[in-house]
Amino acid sequence: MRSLPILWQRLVSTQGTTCPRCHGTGEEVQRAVQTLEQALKPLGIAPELQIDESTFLKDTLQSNQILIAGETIEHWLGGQTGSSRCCNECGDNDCRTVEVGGQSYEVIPEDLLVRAGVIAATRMLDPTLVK
Amino acid sequence: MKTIQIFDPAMCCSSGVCGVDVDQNLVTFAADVDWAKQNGAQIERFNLSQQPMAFAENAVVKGLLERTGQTVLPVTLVDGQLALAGRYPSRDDLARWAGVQAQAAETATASCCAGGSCC
Repeated sequence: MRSLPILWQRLVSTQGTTCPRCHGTGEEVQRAVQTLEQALKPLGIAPELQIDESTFLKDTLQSNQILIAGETIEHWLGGQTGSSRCCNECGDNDCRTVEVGGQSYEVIPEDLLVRAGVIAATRMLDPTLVK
Repeated sequence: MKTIQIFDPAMCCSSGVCGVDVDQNLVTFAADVDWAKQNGAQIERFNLSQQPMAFAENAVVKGLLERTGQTVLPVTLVDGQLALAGRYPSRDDLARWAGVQAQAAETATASCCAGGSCC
């Protein structure tokens, strides 16, 4: 079984709290990983979720970033990274958003995560791609 | 030559390129499919709303749809094997799978500038 690494970077305050968009994305990520487990099992690929809460405390724009197989979901979905004002946990900084298909997402929905995961997984299977 | 099959989401017509609110991704992909066909690629497209049986009768596509839902569409098979799901292939993808040169058209139009002395 090959591994599909999914790295979710999230901001957590010193009190262990997080902002609503990271909290919401967390629930979506968990659901997406479950869906991907079922979807990719017949392909011999297993999603492997890693959560990084340590590195991005001082860089809110790196929070709520999700890397699948080493690339951002914006890369897999043909989208862009955006930003918008968040909440008290994030101070005066803007937080990360994802823009796909002309729509901006603060909480990244499960279906976008699943689609990005499926694209990344099928790329892993393509023997004609130069590794 | 390999056979490339594209299983599209439900669309209003065979290409999805119609109406007043056209998806630019579909326009680009339709052009890339035309280009690949002109270069000898064998490409078939199936539309979920118009050819649902093609989806039901293909074990790979049916299985993906059952496990993931329509999020997985479009699905691309090359000689029946899963090659890409979740988004449309690029022109480079089509060229690579079909074994044709993706840059042929650009090279031909740019030939006057070859050798470092542009016109």
